[in-house]
Amino acid sequence: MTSDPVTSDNRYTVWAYLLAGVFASAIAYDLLRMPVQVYDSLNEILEASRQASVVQAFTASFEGKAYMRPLRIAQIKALFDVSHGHYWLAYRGFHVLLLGLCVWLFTRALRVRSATDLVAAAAALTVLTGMTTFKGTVQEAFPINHFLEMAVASLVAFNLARSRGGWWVDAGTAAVFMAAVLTLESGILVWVVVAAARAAGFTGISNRGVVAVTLLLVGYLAIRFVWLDVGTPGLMERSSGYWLSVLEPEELERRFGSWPYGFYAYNVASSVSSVLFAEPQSGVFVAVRAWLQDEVRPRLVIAFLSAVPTTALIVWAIARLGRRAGDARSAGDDTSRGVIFVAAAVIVASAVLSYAYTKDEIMSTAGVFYALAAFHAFRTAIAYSPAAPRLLAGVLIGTMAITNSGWAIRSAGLHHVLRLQAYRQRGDWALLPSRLAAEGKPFEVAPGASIVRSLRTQALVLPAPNPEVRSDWPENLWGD
Amino acid sequence: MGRLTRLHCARTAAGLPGLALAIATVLWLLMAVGNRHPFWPIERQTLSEAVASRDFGEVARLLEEGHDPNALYAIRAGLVGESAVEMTPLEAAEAADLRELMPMLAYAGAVRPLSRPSTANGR
Repeated sequence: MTSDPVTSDNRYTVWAYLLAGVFASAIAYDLLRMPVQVYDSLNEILEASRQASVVQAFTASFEGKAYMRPLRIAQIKALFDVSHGHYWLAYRGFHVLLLGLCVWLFTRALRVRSATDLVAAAAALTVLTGMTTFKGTVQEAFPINHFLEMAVASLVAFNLARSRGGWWVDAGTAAVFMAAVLTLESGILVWVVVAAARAAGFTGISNRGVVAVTLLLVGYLAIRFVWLDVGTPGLMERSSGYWLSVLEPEELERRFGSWPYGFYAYNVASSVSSVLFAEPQSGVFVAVRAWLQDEVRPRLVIAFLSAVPTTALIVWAIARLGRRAGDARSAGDDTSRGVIFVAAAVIVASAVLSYAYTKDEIMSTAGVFYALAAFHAFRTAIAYSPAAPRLLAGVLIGTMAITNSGWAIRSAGLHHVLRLQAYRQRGDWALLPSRLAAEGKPFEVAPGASIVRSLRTQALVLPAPNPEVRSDWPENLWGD
Repeated sequence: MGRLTRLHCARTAAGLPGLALAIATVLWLLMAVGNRHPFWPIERQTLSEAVASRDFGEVARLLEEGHDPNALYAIRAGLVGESAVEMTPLEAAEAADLRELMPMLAYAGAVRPLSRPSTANGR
């Protein structure tokens, strides 16, 4: 398979981008109603404010041994400097920019060229925004959502892999890989995308480009593990979901300290399952727990009815496309096979990266690629349905009707989750001064007091709907 | 079911939910222009109502705006009882058993008046 440039009917492409714009605008509106959060964010902003420059923020982070993420604090510092006191606007604006990039790159990767593509794209956009893993890219920010950055970087790499190629494509891929991997460990997924895309036959990134990114990966690993001796997370790093509950680090150490590999295997398997079947969530089988406690809410049923049949449809599409491999009339099938292969590689690699502890956010990029795979499953099912045996056609059409209705409901629910989050974050800012005073650390006299005061004021002026005075049905249908 | 019909059925099944959601989304974004976004309904609350409904953010905003933490404010029916009442924020916090809000109100200068009962229970 060679490069896969965009051609043909622009009408459908334009409509697909319009649809994507609508979905992105709605989420962007929510993001712009949300304050910068206190937890996992305020300390980072204050730390960035203490750095003299972006360069110093970058180099100083190498002194820490826990992680090697120099671009993370450098980015926070860069936005802090350009904000000139408008912190909310800078950090939330950047979040909106990242969201827009993610949705645009996702839509670009779909290569919509026909009516069938367009309706499959409409469905894929609801899968993208309805997935539990997508929630992690918008619900929180630290104060930048680095998981969303990883999804964007991986989508950039995938789009480059499907481009016409050239030296700038190779150079751009290498730059994106470096930026991603120096921000978060999940940046390794960019290499996974590059390698898997090449293996799948996408030739936008040349062999030389793949070798260059691979050498950069080897260099990164050498610097991280040999030179800087930054280890991997251990059991005591943080709490993690396990079957029906969340285990604290002490409990994890007690139960798995002598032989953690079974726990690691559970984490990898449950991470894959969380994308394919919407369960478990962050390692906890919440639907099973709800069923055992006789508290099954509609949202759990809808998640199951959307995710499981969609995964079944993808598996069916793999089998269908496999049977047509080598058929000269099925050039489009090669692309679908390739995309699903890359998606599978990203899902498995993301799960392996989650071996130490499970967290839905780590699977964010996997969720994005799952939605790409779903798009190709939908278009395969639509294209095949006229020629399929009557019963199979009925099953395919019925499955898409049920699953895609479920995905649309889940996608709409994202707005409920975000308004709830806005309410909580505003409340955290409200309680901060009295909490710090109670701890004997009044913020008025602490370094960075003016920054805290400014962030708090910017948070309080953003009105958030109060869930306490509203009915319970949104929580039952969409709650987190 | 003819082949053309099947294709239309398949396209409809796949795309209609997403398209319907997109149309609804456009509508509620338009409604947002008039502050009527269905996911972001904002209701005005008194300081005591905000306390009773655990809306810490709104409590802080009203206090920052200079609302008196020791004044009496109306509370609509259903928040701390079946009928509408008047309470100070501190009384509303006690009635709603919101201990976490007490330090915040005290920090803002709220004090329990000597002339009023120490609890709002039974109102």
